[in-house]
Amino acid sequence: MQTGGLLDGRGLTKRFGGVTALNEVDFTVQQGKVTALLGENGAGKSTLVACMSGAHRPDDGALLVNGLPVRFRSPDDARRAGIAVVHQEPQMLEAQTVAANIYLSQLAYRRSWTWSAGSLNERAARHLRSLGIDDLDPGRPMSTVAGAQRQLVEIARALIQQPSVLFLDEPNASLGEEETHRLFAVVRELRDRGVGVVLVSHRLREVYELCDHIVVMRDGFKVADDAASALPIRDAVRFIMGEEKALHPVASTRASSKSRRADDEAPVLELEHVSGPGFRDVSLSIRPGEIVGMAGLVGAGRTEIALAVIGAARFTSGRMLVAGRPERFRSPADAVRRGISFVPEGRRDAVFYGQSVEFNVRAGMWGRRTPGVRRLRANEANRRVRELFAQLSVKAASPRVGASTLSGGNQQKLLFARALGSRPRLLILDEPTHGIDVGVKSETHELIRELAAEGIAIWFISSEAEEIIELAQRTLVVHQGRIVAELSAEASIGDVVTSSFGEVEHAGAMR
Amino acid sequence: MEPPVATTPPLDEQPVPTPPPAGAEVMSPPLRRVRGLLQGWGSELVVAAVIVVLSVLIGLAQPVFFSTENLLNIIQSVAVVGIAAIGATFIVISANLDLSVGSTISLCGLVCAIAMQHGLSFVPAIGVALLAGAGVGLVNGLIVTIGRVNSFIVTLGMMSAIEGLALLITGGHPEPMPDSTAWLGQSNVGPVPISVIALLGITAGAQLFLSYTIAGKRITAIGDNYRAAYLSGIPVRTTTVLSFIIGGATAAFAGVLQASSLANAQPNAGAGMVLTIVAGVIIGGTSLMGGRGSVIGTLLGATLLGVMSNAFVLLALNPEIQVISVGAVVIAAALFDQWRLRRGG
Repeated sequence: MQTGGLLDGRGLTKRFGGVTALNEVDFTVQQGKVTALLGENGAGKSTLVACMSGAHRPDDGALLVNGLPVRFRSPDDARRAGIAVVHQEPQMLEAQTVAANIYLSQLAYRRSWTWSAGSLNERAARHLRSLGIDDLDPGRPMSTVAGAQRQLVEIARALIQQPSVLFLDEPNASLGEEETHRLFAVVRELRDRGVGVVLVSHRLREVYELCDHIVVMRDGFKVADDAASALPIRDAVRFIMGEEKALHPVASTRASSKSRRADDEAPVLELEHVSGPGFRDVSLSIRPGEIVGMAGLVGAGRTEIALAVIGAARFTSGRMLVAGRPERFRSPADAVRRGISFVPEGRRDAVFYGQSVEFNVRAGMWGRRTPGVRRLRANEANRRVRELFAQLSVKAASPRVGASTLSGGNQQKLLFARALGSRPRLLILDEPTHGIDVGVKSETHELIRELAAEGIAIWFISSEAEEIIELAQRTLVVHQGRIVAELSAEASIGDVVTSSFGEVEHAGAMR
Repeated sequence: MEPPVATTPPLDEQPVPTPPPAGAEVMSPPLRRVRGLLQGWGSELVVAAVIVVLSVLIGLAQPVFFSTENLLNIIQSVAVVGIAAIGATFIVISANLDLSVGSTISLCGLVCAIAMQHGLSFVPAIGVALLAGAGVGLVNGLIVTIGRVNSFIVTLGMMSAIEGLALLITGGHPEPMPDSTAWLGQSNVGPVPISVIALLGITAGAQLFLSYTIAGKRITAIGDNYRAAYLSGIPVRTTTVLSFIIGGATAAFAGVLQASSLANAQPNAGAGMVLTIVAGVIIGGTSLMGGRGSVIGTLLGATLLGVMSNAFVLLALNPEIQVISVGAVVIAAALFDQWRLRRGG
């Protein structure tokens, strides 16, 4: 254990009820170094970050800033001590501009009495440029800024305070490759300026590209703490997953799942030259039992296509056929009625946080052909919930516990269960493995294959080239609102990535 | 559910600081049922406990409080407000608000009286009044959903518009209710007033509707997370409109009941009731953030307000203090709601 870090946690312990989420953990953030914090969901990473940044008060243990003991009563205390946290799902003032969001802290730490939008935009633009972000207009309202760029705004906001310690909680979970590299360039720049950076992430390859030091958490304990050069990826995975799981290769079923061909069956969904908000001239077809991947950079227009299909946005031209019949859905309720379910990206748009697990799953059965006043058939629905739970191995103490008590991966499964509750013929999954840990991710992949094997058509949107390649029988690559390539199952990660950047004439493209 | 494989314990990153579910596993089934019941009805039990404690205190000072007559009197006094509050509960659970409920009460009482002056008998006239109330709810709901206007401002405007309408059609004068209508608001079955039976019956029906129909669950879903409900295929607009229609219809029935018990329908019968109605809903544990609440809670909330006002009469306290105390109780209920949200219960 090194000493004399910018921020030291000593013997940090945190209990929630009877559960010890953090068990006597020592953690040091060193000046000018990037430390990776790895572990499955529920391993205690977030709790550790929360305890070191004032969001939680540890039950036991001490915190030292530059060797001096401190006590944070709030995140604000930590901020004043130079500790900044970039959260996975940033909270923004949606009606305000990007610049106002970046300089939000000025409302807290008043430097002047006035607030000038013009000079603020200028300063924000300069600040963003210094981070290598030059395509984001600071005068834009935040509500028009999509996933990845929101993350960059959040990071820009954290850096305004010139923190000496920066925690990044899965900053690249929703970022495409390009944005990730841009983000990492920013992190390297900060490291070179002497900032101590802690990166919580699930993407090991990228972590190793960037990090100097690796810390692995498991079940609330720190199980590994070493220089990146001294801890090969293979060993890190073993520490993360525990011995037994690591012995089973994750992608063992790839060949078998891909063998299924569905060419002879009529497509569930066909789009013919459709255009709409954020996309142009898109044509595709998906057959029963087929897993069609949709790759591309974040913001390329993939989600927009899906939203238009389910009726949450409008097509401006083109034709959509569902099971061979022309359709236009006026709302997702229509789409569900015709057998198309959508699992949105980001759990915030999907989970009923105030309700039970059971409620969350059953909600999927309340759209399709159900006259509202019909009495809930408790037995039938309960059986269906149990089936779905068993099928998805949702880990909840009971269907009656609150959905907000589940971990991210289990909440994701809950959404799968809900989408399946209406017995869809087509399941549209928007970044279903976003921010969930390695073990749950492979389970999710397995589940997607099983559903396809049952004959459900899967439209799988992901920013991770690896998982697209692993799962999809065909991959459509979207770039700036158009489908620029259709890749076969034999395509490589490189093909996906290069076409995502709009390089069309690459080997591997079928047309 | 089935315990997970041993290698991945179901530890959550941020578990709620309530006793762990593991504790529930070792309890005997009946005990677990009782506990489950208590957990689901926590805020209702708190309100019930407050009512009991308050009643005991009042009863100690004025033993007449506990006479059957007085207790029935209390419930009867909250019947009008309580019935309207039941419908309002649905609107609040769907994360909206209906400030026009008081004006709707006035208008629909008048509609009933005027319909009878045009030759309808009482029961069909009630039907016409309910249609009028449902119509007000329909308009509110359509403006909120299609026009995408905040329900607070829509129903604030509607409150004034309907109040004006009621004055316009009557010229400001009360409309008499025929004697044939008196049974609803003024008579008893044994010792129990019909209005009390109506209140309890509507409470039971509405609670069953909320808990055991898909429409009821949809209302909870859109209040908890509107976007999630929309994307998972729940007809969010229809559901929102439905909650306003229910609110309008119960307000209409409350208006008829009020007119029947006063033997005439007054154009300002419901004026000032809106605070009491919303107060009853909030005190009953329904969250203003939507997604959580119960009809039984609302009944208890309204009853608590009835007990308070009864106490002021029995103890001969200053009525102005009652107005202040109602405000204080509403704010206390809202604080309690927030405290519970933070606690994660």
